[in-house]
Amino acid sequence: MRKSLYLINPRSAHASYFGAELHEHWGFSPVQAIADLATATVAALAPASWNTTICDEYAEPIDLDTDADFVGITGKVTQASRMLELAAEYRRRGKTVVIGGPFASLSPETFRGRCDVLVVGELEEIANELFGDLERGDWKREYVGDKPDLASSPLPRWDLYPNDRAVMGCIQTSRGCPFECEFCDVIQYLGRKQRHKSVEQILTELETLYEIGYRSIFLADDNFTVYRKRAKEVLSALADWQRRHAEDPVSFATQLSIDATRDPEIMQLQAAAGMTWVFIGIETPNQESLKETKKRQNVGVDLLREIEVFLEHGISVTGGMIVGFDHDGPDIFQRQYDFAMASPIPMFSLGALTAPVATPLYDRLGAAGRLVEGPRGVSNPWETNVVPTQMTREELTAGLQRLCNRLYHPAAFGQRVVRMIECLGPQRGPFRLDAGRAAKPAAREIERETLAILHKLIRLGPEERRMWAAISAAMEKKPESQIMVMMALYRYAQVRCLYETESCWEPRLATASLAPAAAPEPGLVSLGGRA
Amino acid sequence: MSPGADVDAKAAVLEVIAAQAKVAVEELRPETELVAGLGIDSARALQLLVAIEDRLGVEIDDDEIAGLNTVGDVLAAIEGGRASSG
Repeated sequence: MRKSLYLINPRSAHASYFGAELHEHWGFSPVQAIADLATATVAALAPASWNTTICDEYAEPIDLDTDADFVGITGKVTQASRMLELAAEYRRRGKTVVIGGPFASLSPETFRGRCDVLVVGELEEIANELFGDLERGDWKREYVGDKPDLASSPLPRWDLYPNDRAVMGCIQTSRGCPFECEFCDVIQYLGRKQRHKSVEQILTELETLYEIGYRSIFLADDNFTVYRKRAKEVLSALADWQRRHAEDPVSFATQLSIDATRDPEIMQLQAAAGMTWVFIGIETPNQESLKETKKRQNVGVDLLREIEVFLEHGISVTGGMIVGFDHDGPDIFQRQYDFAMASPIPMFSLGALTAPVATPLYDRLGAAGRLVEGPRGVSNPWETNVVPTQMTREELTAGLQRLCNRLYHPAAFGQRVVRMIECLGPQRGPFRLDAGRAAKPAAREIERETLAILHKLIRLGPEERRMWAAISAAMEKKPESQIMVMMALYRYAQVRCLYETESCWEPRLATASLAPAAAPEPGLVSLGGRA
Repeated sequence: MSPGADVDAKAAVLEVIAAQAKVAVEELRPETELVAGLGIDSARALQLLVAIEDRLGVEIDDDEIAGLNTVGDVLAAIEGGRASSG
């Protein structure tokens, strides 16, 4: 009899900076920010003869009554609680539950005994064994995958995915990163030797997503430009592809490190390929903290100047920002604020230093007795399992809340967007407005919703109105900035959703001192109790 | 609302759309498409909505925004908004 598999990407209970919970928050149906590559890839590795279905819980409800033979559950640390909850419920209903993915690979002990089959590591090289055993009804309790050559990674089964409810498509061109940031868990399960898909694989995946309708695609690499020769090869191919689709090009985004600016050719190729925004782990302007966490690529670098180089190439930057390193004194909140406001970066993912399991940081702090037991996984950006050295946990949380509210006060955010617009160089890629290309109607419902959400955002109050007026006036002088401005506003709407749903938003803190305070100010919503 | 006010509102909306699209008011027809016909993509559309709301002192219903494809759609949305607010 034909076997069936129900693959689930569970929804975290908490919003995140890069999620898309804003759609639901503002009255629309749920949306996934970036199409889930894990379930689509596993579906492609399952036997073609099986009846495989995908459920991304960020975009659609789970079917607890599925009649599938096997339920497969993936997830990252932020999804761990939901993974366990679903596994228990399906097992109670008599289903055979298979668990794998990033967090199962980092922390297999979390799932042992709580599923029927545990898959640790990457699936490609063990897929035949796993699915063969499941087919025969004679499976092992645990399978361990190594780090496969990505030539063996199949074209993801996007035909099974709810693409109409995902904002961005997703392509992973490589896995792994050679850097060794102390807090990073990705290198613990994907390794420091970067492995690559071929250009042909990447273009095939791109063409598939394009035909589905995606015009915005995230290149889900851990560090896209770290092997420059290879990155140039991919970017050249993407630029050629864009030239063939000049009437309706694709906007790309990725993650990379600041040192990409050292290579002018790679910057030019990114622009030509249509890279419109990149995430860079800035982390902190505190040099001692950068050294402490082994973020060597940022040490001794004029970070603000390097960020401007991206802008000059027409590429906007989103920055990771962390507070709570051992070398962060009570002045770190003011230092981070000053750095951010001097930068042309609208969006920072700001949070407390946390020590994920399986990282060197986790081991070091554990040995020093500086880890706090808490709920499994991380729930929001200011919750941490770390005991800081130069402030109490309460001071860290209270300082973070002030910093969050000051950075994302509409006036401050608007100021950074205007600075971004001013710094943006001419578009050298496929989004030049002087190309005589007709504007394209939003082909996807999700894009039309976005306009309504942004309209709601700028009508929230007078501060938001003034923010929009300033941004709009600056955009008028530089029309090529439109695509970056709309992305920044969309991410800002998500930040507001995140802060409001996690009880962080307190506009009265927008003018509060960033100096440490022992106690929250009276009458204000405080995160202090969560620490 | 008096018929005269309706005419004024319609004229004001057309003026704002024309200014945003950098075309003459006379070129606008109810069936003119905002994006394909006038190049008003998402950023420009946001500017347009706010400009109309500021000019007329109305608020366009968010539920209608996703369906605004033509000049006629905008005029209908404004009429609806004025009717419900007045």
